[in-house]
Amino acid sequence: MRERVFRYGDTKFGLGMVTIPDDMERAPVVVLFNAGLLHRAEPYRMNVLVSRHLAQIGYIAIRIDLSGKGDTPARPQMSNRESVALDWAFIKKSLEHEFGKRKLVLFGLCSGADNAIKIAAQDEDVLGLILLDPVSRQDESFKFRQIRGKLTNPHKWRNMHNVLRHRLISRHQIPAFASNLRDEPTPDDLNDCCQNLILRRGRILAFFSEFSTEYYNQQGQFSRSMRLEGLEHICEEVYWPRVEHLYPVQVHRDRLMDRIVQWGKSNLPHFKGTASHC
Amino acid sequence: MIEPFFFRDEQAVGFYHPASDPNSSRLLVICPPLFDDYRRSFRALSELAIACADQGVHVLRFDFFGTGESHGLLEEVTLDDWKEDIRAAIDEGIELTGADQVDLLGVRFGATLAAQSRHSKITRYIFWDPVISGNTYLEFLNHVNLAIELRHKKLAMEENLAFEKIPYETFFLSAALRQDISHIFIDPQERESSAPYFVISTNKAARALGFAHYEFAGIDYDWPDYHVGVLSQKTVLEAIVRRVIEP
Repeated sequence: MRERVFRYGDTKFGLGMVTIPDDMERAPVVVLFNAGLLHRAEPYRMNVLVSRHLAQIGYIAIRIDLSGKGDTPARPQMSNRESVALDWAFIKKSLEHEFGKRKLVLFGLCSGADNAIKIAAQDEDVLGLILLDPVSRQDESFKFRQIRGKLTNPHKWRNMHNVLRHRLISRHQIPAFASNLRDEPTPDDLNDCCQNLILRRGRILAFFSEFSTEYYNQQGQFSRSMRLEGLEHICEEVYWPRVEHLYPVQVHRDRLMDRIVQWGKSNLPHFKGTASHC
Repeated sequence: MIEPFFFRDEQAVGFYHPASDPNSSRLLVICPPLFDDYRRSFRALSELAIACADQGVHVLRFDFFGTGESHGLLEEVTLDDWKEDIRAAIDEGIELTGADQVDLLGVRFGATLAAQSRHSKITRYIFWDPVISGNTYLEFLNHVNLAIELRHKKLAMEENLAFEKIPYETFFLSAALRQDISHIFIDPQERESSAPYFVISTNKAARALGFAHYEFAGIDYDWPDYHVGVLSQKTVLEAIVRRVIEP
């Protein structure tokens, strides 16, 4: 395994780092996107360690600074969607130039997951997604589970006066949820992404942490709520409501690595096109 | 254009920002902060490096062994590794640029580490919100871990889940590293080094530490309060650039 610089863009100002496995034969490429405003190594060095773990089992892993993040200059006067689309076109060009045409897996946390979904909705070379706290639709029972959870939580009852006070105050304030800062995929993007991956026999690994509990509260909800036949067969969901959004605890990051490596190993023949069922 | 490269037997990663004047004899080596401080200040340091390079000073940034994009895991890092990273980064920078004057910029605990470094080409040390003692820094790391543990406790309660009994540590550091960190500090009245210390701080109280050259950056920043925000401090960066381009 070795690492080197990866450049993309018309003037090659786009910067990333590529981790190359010992065996390059048909190795799929994993592209890791920035999480929010963080640079390509973060959060908590997660992207670096995910890259190296995946390279050890046979993936080419590239952690990228998209325009305006980390070491890549911003593209002024462009919306996030336009900028990411342009970045992706250049990234693919550089990838094909360096490694030839290969199957792609996209990795992203939060807004990184948003970008991965939007790209997978358009790009037929994307065969896999590793998503951390992606968007998800609510299924029919979501509200019921949410209300039941609140009613059966002694802490909520004990804390009722604070909840009510908070509700009264927040009625007069503009909500500033982190999700408002995200350029989330549209319902069509999400639908197209999942449809395309079903058609291409792709694979999805989706993690949901405490951050998602306002819209996701049961393992399997993501696939179920999409109502797309076959999605549940290609999508593995992990619900970790005890884990914080950015995985600040090393034990949690280690668990995440283990799960990703396990998924990566079992799907490598599929991505390489050497699995018996392909 | 930024030129990333590997050094120290390919174990450490560096980022070279060539000066707008290729014949410049001046080099700035940036010792970054660690952990959360680095996450918060990465983009600021990248922008600072570009600004200094535009002003005619070569800049070299790097990641300490076991952090960022350098190799190794924190569990295996020793304090000597980090000291050696600084020395090697200075040597690499001199070899790349031919510079004969080196400013060493240390940020937070990067400053504590920079203060341990002696090199004949260092002409001055610039410390941005330096952590004065290793012990204080360990207390800060423990405070971060405690804050994270409390947040997870609250989270478990909110979600009506059992609280997980695991070590709530952002990174595992070896006992030996903790021990070594506890022994280092910055002496504001340092006389051993011929290169002066310049402090640029967001903390007015730091003036009382007794550094001969101290500048308040005109803005307070909550380094000690753990949070997930990203730092963007134009006035601090401008103060550092002014200091760096000063002859």
